[in-house]
Amino acid sequence: MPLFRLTDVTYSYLKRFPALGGIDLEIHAGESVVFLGANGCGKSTMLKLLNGLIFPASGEIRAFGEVLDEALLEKNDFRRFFRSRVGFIFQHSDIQLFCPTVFEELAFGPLQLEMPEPEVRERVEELLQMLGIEHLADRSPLHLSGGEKKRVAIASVLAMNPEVLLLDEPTNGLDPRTQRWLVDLITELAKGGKTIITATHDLSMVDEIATRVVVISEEHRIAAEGKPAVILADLDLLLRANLISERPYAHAHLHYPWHRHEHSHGNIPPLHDHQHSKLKGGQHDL
Amino acid sequence: MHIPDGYLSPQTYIPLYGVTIPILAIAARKVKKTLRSRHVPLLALGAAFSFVIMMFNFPVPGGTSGHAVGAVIVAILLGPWAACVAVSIAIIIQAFLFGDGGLTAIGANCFNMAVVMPFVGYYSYKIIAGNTSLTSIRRCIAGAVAGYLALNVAALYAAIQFGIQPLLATGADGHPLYAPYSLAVAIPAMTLGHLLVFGFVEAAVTALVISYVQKRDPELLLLHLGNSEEKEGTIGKFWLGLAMLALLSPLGIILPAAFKSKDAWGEWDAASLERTLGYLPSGMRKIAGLWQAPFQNYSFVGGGSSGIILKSLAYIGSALIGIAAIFLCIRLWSRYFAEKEPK
Amino acid sequence: MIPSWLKQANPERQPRANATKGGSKSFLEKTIQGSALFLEETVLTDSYSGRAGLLQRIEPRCKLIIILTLIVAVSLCRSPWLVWGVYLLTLIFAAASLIEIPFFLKRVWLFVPIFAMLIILPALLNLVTPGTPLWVMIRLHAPHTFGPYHIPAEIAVTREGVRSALLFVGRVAASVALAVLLTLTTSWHRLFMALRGLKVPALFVLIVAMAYRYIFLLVGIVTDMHMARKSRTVRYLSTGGEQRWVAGRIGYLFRKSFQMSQDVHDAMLSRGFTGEFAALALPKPGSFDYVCCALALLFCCVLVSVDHRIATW
Repeated sequence: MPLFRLTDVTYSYLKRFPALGGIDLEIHAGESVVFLGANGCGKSTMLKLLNGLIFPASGEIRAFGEVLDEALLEKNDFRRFFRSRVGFIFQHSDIQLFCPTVFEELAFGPLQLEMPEPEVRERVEELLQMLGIEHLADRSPLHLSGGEKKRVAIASVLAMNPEVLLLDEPTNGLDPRTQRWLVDLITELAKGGKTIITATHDLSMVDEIATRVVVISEEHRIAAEGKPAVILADLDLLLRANLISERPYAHAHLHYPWHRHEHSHGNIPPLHDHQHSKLKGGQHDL
Repeated sequence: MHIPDGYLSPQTYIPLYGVTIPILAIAARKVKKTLRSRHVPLLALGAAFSFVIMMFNFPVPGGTSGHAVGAVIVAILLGPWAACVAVSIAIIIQAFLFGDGGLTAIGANCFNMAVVMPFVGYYSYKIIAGNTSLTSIRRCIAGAVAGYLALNVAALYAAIQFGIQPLLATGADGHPLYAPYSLAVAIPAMTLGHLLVFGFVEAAVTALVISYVQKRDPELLLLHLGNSEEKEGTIGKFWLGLAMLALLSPLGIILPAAFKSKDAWGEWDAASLERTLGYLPSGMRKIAGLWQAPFQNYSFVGGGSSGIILKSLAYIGSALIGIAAIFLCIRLWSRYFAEKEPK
Repeated sequence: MIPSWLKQANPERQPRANATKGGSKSFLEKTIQGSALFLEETVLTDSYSGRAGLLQRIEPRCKLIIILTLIVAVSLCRSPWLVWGVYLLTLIFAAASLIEIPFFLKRVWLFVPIFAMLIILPALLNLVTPGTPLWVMIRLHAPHTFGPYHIPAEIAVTREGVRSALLFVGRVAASVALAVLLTLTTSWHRLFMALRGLKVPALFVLIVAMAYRYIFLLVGIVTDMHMARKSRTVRYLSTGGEQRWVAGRIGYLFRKSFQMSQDVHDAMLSRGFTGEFAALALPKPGSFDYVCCALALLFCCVLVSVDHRIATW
């Protein structure tokens, strides 16, 4: 049985601006799916629908076999189950941090799950270590740098040991080192059995983290689905979905230690900077 | 607490415009003087913030939730003058674009929520908080009391504005033309809800936001825009208090008339005393005619039963003259008799 | 790299399908929905100001003055016939401005006039409005008096009460309808510009317009915060805890607003803002607008004088 099943799901923002049209999708446990699309295509909306934060205008979403609707999530038992199983990491870290110290922020989730306090402390300590933020334990989450806030936000969601992780544009606004760290973390978590669903327009990390790629067009529909290697090689598709532009830049070829050559760009000579896709397709929303 | 159109008569909403617009103009000028060009984005965001506060659902015991007006916390954070402008702008936007509050009632709504609430709230907060450290809990308590008090005073003003309608405006056969409930009904109806429920919501929101700011960024409690602290501190609120009392003085005739009660204890004149007791003590008879006050019975228009508006205005006028007279005496005294301060 | 417990399955068990207790709508949900409704309504309202109807053609300053004059005239009327007459006129003008009548009715009557109807009900009785009884409801033995409250022996609906109620509800309905006509047929930007026609200083109008736009920014932040919290809500904290959370969000919003205002100020300074504001001159109203103003003024005068005559009916 799939973890999530969407049947002909549509959604309109403010009931009049179409955000998603006729989505049919299944996501199975253990997968690492990437929703790939340009800004405004509806990938964030997909994540919010999967997390039961908003509900489809038409069509049906099933999660864990149940129809996910408002009524179901108002039931205390299901809500508790669902919220601890599915974690969401928002694009802007600010809005999801609200406890006085980093320690309390991480402890919030487990405490709600009524874990005994010593266990909570142990868990928080381990998370702080894992994310390299032990020195920030007593700081206010809002006085940290962007990268540090991101780590705290991720830690606070991981603290509940969710089965599913939804990530909205996780690498946006992060410096290269933090981005690298994040990609590695996601890979580890996927290996550890988590189901990871990421929404991004950043092509550079797709091949590393995804087992399946779903391309969402600017018409708010699924343009293609498949293995990362196949999708990323389909230049026409990427062009149509506004994930790459017509003319790639000619840059000096830089070798980052983690940089791998797995794809080529057809007729275009191999002198390129692998950051170009991000530069072109990514617009930073501030 | 937003009053819609049609509840208040022109005799009410026009004077309220007349009072609120000058206050708003003064507030705007004060803030502009202190902040120069910075006041534009700050007031704009302050207004947006005041507007959005009213959209938060604040959970209350019992499982439901309520809303706060937020004018008091805005006054504590930005100072009363900036709060006056910010909340007024929020009210104007609500009235024109969202139908929350009437267009003719903007003056009344701004008076209640953008003048009364911030000033009563701010000064009660200042009095109770005193000079304690920025992070002391006394400030939270001060905020709670200020929030509760200011909201209820504002609700009282609104209730009075409703309640005097039947007195001010009735049709040929005596039926009320606007809000039909007299003070005896309007005041309990409006104030009860605020005393028992909404006041506590406002108090809780004010206190808890202060507590949050104390923990994250206590310096924000010192913004006080548009205020020069030294002057405004005691003298300012003294004058404000007097002004408020002067405005409230007509209650002295309206309430007794509404409740059909007699004169206040000890304030009987010779005639009514004679009626009550059956006789007049001889000593009183001798001195009764000794002094004819210039403004007999606090009225300018020959006493007796002139319309209630005229009487109210007369009362306010008497209050102002009285205050001026007392002030004059105090100045004269301090000039000629008080000890000179050593230089 | 990751601790062992993260590699294990989450112990929360899925509840059986119908075995779960229902909960009520939480304050988080109410705020999220309230914000969504607010944004929807704004977008909906904006859609009418672009239509090619009658009222949309009138210049905003003239329109503002016309509507305000009408509302003031309505507030002077003493006859229920006249205020309901003005209300019916607003329906005609709504239709002429290409506003669907069902939508207009819904927009006008929810919630203010309906609320007015509810609160006026007690005033129908002679408990509140003394006068000639039309329909006696309860008969007591004798009148009672508690302080300022007097209960007559016969509790009845009075003629004066009915008249007062009709006048009150009619006035409220007409005033709200007029205000709605203004809001629907004028884009927010031109509506604020119209305030300058009332001699409101241009700088103040600038602040109002800025505030309006920032409201949407802040509402977005509020929605996001509540959604993020909703996403992490396994169970609710105590009432006090949740109150502290909401107050914390309000506090955070203030700090964010304050920071933003400084950024905006920097942006304004770098574009030459000195604190004084030179606004673009507004285009002059055309003859059509003046004619409408004149007609409206005429109408108000007629209304008030007719009202004066029939007030004793």
